[in-house]
Amino acid sequence: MKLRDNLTIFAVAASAVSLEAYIIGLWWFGRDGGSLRLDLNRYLLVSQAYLVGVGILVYASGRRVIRPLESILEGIAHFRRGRLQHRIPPSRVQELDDLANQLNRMAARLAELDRLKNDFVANVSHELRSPLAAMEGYVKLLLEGSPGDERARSNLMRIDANLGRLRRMVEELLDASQIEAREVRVRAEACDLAELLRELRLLFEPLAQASGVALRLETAGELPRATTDPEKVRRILTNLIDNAIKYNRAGGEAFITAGADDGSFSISVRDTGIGIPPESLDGVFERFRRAPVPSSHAPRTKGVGLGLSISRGFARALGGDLRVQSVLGTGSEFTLTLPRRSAA
Amino acid sequence: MKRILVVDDEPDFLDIVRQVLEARGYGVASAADGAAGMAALRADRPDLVILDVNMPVMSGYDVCREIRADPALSDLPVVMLTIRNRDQEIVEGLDCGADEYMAKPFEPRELIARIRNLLERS
Repeated sequence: MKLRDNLTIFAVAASAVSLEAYIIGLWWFGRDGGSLRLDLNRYLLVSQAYLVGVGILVYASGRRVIRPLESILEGIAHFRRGRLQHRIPPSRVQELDDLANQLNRMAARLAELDRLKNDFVANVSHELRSPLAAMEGYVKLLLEGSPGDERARSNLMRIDANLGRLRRMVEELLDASQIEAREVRVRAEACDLAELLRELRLLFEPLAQASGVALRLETAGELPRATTDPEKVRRILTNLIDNAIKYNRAGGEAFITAGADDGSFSISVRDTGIGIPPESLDGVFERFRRAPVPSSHAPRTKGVGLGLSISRGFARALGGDLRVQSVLGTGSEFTLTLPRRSAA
Repeated sequence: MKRILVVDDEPDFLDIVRQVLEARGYGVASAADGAAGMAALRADRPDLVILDVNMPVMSGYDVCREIRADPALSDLPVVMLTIRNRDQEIVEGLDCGADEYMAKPFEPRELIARIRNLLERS
């Protein structure tokens, strides 16, 4: 039961007790009559008023404690959801004010650590790009210059492919840290989303075939032109389609559907894959979170677990959003919504 | 023989680009930062310049703008070659007056094709 309810009950009880005493007094002394009755009557009235007063005082001072406690609870809820910029307001009750201050300082410290972590990831991934690109450059030189030995050539191509993978991971880390620091730059321009979808379908056809997944594109005819950042939309959809194939089953299907209404576009990518358990749905957009994958899928699902977090970050930077629905064992559907015009 | 100046603060990239270009018979000069590059350009004008973006002293964008502002150099073909490869940065590179923009790591063949096009045009 809440503290406030307890106080209310106490105040009501105090009033009731005093009223009861008053009535009993009236009845008791009423039998004798006379001035004694009047005096006692007055005495009982005073004591009743006193009890009601105490009740009100207790209730009022209780409110003084409850209100700051409520803002502290509210503040903790904000912090738990990651809104570390929130501050619990000061209280006139010294101990509660101290508590609020301590919690505020803790949140500020967490925000600071978060920023440091983000800067660290950004700096490290930034610094990693140069040596990686240099290695890739030299491998490409070797590939160009050594047409001879077939074994050596195939080994070099493997090095090249792995360096490429490493570079893309580093770029993802950099993207994620930019999203985190709210430094995503949007370059909006007129673009044809239907054309982009057709292009992506062709691009993913080989992977879909190799995975035994039928990739289908279903658009309601042509889409109106969008003003958005095509590179970011491409990154989001690439990630969604890649997942829809990767987290699918052999013989499964992946559907891309797109539509537009007055103000916005909606593009869905649905798979007939393993689905996401309900308890994991909230977490799929969190950084470094990966959908739990049965071991049969493990070799196909390599990555740092930033794809969906980056996709949602980009979608929001474009003024849209990315949402998910999923049924375990049946499949998942990711829906990207975009405004007709994204602010640059 | 066409002469190309490569400006990059990373010795590895100077080396990679030099190897790619020399294998195709281009003459290669190099500079390790923007200011040194600018001085080299003014002392001895090459047929084309390849610029890295992030460099100490003077960035590739600054060098490019200065080239375009200098009547003696303004028609010099400029290729920006940089580790940055985000689309907005490509546009920024072209905004400063570069003729081509390529990301590192690059395909040697692609770099050569673009350079050849630029040299034929000029």
